[in-house]
Amino acid sequence: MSPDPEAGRTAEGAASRNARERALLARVAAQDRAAFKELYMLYHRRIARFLTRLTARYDLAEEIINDTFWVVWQRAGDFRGASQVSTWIMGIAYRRGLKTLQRLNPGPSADESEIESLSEEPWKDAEVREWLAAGLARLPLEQRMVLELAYNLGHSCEEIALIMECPVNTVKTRMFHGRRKLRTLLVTLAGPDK
Amino acid sequence: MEHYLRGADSHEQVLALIPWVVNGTATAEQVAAARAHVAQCADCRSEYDRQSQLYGVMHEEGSVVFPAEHSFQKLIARIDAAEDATQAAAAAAPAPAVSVPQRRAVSSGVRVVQWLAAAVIVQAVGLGFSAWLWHSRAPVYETLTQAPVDHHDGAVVRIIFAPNVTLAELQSVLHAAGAQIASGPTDTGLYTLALATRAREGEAPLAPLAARIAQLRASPDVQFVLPLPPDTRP
Repeated sequence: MSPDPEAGRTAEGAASRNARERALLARVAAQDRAAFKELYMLYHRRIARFLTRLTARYDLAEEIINDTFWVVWQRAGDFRGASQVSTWIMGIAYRRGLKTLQRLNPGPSADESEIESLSEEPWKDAEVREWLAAGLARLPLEQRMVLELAYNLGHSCEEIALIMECPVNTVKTRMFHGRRKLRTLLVTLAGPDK
Repeated sequence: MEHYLRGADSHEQVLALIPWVVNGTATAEQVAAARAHVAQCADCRSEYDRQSQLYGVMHEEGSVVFPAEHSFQKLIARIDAAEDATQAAAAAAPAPAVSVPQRRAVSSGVRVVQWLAAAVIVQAVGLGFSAWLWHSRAPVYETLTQAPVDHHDGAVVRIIFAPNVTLAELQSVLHAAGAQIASGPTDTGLYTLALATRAREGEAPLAPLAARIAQLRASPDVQFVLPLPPDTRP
């Protein structure tokens, strides 16, 4: 049982990255466009990965990314370091993304009854991504967001609570229900004992 | 999350902990406790394997290349448009507005030439708009069936709404601010709002102007707010 080396960020590495990003943010607050571009490039791929798993439309993802960094450009001076820079930026991206995606596609509600399995057939590895996308798309948006933030981007439970502006226990509950529903959908990922 | 591993039902606690062990954000203590439980619990071992597999698939980088540079240039164009709107507001004010172009000249020499060209146009538009404000004391934007809003000594603000804002959201923002659209949108999406000083008869009292302007700035539906100086208004 060995955690992913990238996700298992050392405390020193995370602190160093946060210090570097705080310095960039301070320059952004002074309207330094070079620093703004550096910060944008640091986060663009990360946020794009997150968003393009939630919507197939890159134009929409780009719009949300630029809305996010519009806020960063305007409010960098308001950042007081209460959280990591990454948590602050991802929180803005989450709220902008949630609002846009909910408007475009409300999706299933959180109290929807158990989802039926898509298939009883075992799938080949090459099909896993396709079925995973199908399974995730059928989860309530909040549950899917937790899974994406934890597994796609490697955030901790506490960081996700800050990003989603909800209690830690809510994150745990959403993760629990998301895992359970996804398990019924993904026979391959459910394992041979399912 | 240390409380996960205390109490009688450590099995349920470890089940809940598994995603955070898998993604490497659990503490060393939690990992050690989960490892000890998983070693003797077949259900948790299966769940750990499932979540590891799921994490592996979702965490893959993939080969999609996102056009970050192009997206950034679009954002910069949007910022420039908003800054030009700020220039327009400054041009509408009687006070000399030389500090902003000077600051931008330091950051980008090329943009100075662009600004000087734009400033002539912007100032002309601004002066025209200012003259319109001075000479149209009776607001022309109220409906015939609506009680007139008292704008005397109120605030006039320039505002840019978020690009995805719906009509209902826009109306909600206006209502909360006690505001009406005086003009706009311009080509850059700039509106001018008049904020009332008193609520209409039968409606709840309005918050102080400063609080409503702060509320506008804090709204996710609003990207940019610039109150016009009082001496630019009738």
